[in-house]
Amino acid sequence: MKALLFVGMITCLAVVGNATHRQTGIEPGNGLGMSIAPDEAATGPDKAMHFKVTFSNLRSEDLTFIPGTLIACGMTPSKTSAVKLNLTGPQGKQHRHLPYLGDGPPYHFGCAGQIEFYVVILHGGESVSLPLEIGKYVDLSDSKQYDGARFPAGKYSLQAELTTERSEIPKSMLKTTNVWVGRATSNIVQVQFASEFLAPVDDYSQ
Amino acid sequence: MSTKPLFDNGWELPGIASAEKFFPVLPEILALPANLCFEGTSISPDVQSFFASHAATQILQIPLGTIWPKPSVFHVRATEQFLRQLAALAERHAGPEICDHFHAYDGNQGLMQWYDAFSGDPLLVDESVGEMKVQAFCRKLGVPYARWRAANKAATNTKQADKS
Repeated sequence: MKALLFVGMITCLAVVGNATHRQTGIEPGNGLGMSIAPDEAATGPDKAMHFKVTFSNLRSEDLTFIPGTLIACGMTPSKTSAVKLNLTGPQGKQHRHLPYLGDGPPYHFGCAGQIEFYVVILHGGESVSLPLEIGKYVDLSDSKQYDGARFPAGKYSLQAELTTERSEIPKSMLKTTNVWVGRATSNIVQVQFASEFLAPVDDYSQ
Repeated sequence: MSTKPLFDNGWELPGIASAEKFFPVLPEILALPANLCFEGTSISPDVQSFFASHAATQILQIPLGTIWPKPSVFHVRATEQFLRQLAALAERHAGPEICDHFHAYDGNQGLMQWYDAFSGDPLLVDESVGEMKVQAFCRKLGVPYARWRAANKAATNTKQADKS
């Protein structure tokens, strides 16, 4: 596993993949729409934990945003690693802003090497769908060997959220690109967790 | 997950996988005594006791390398005798039972930064360590070395990928 702390070799790749014009279930956030749905193409025993997040440019002009990473130094990269999850448990308890953790536990993030942000440019009206795995946000394994916040099995409401602040954008990009800042939230879908699962923290207010 | 490195320029030494071989030759490139920081989530109890018995005051703030579970962190003052004893411990422990992440520093000066130690990921060594020393150290371990500098000085490359 890679493990280095981000120093900032920022090679920004602008990628536009599988652009479509589908805009169902979109919640606008400063021109960026966002929706989440089960990944119908997923296979395997954990296929219910695989989702697709669709980002849509609700503006007429180009929109550039950063949903994740292609190289993430200390952790497994994901094109949606900047997306956070909001879960609401069977008893109505909220678990806000669960961050992407990658592979683990243990979840390493120390980094002194390279990070490449996944930068998407959408033309007016375009959309892009990217994969999101819940198993990269919480520990779904049976081992439960570490102390952490325990989430009971049951049906949860799931919402995806992307927040980008100006301070999070590489300075080198700000000089040349008008990168999206704001907060976009998706529709809410239901997820059935068959067994108890864990996360480092139960709820993140920010 | 952004954290500044301990230093901006130096050497990268990839491929070091054996704690048992690493610690005995460490004095080749590390002036002793020096402060070492060991971080891990599965450090063996006898290794933890050993570190605790050599505990030193933390002088330099080292960014943690693991989010969860909460890692154990030990700052020690290392001498040649300490490294010999640690090498003996390493003979009967896997790398993660010694540490997941390793740093060395002297006062406020970072000297080594190694996240995912012994995994093959590169050990970073500050430029204050001369190339002759690095070369000798690497020869003993049978690993290569190269110049390294913090990546935030690299140019940004933006390109448009193909649309489908």
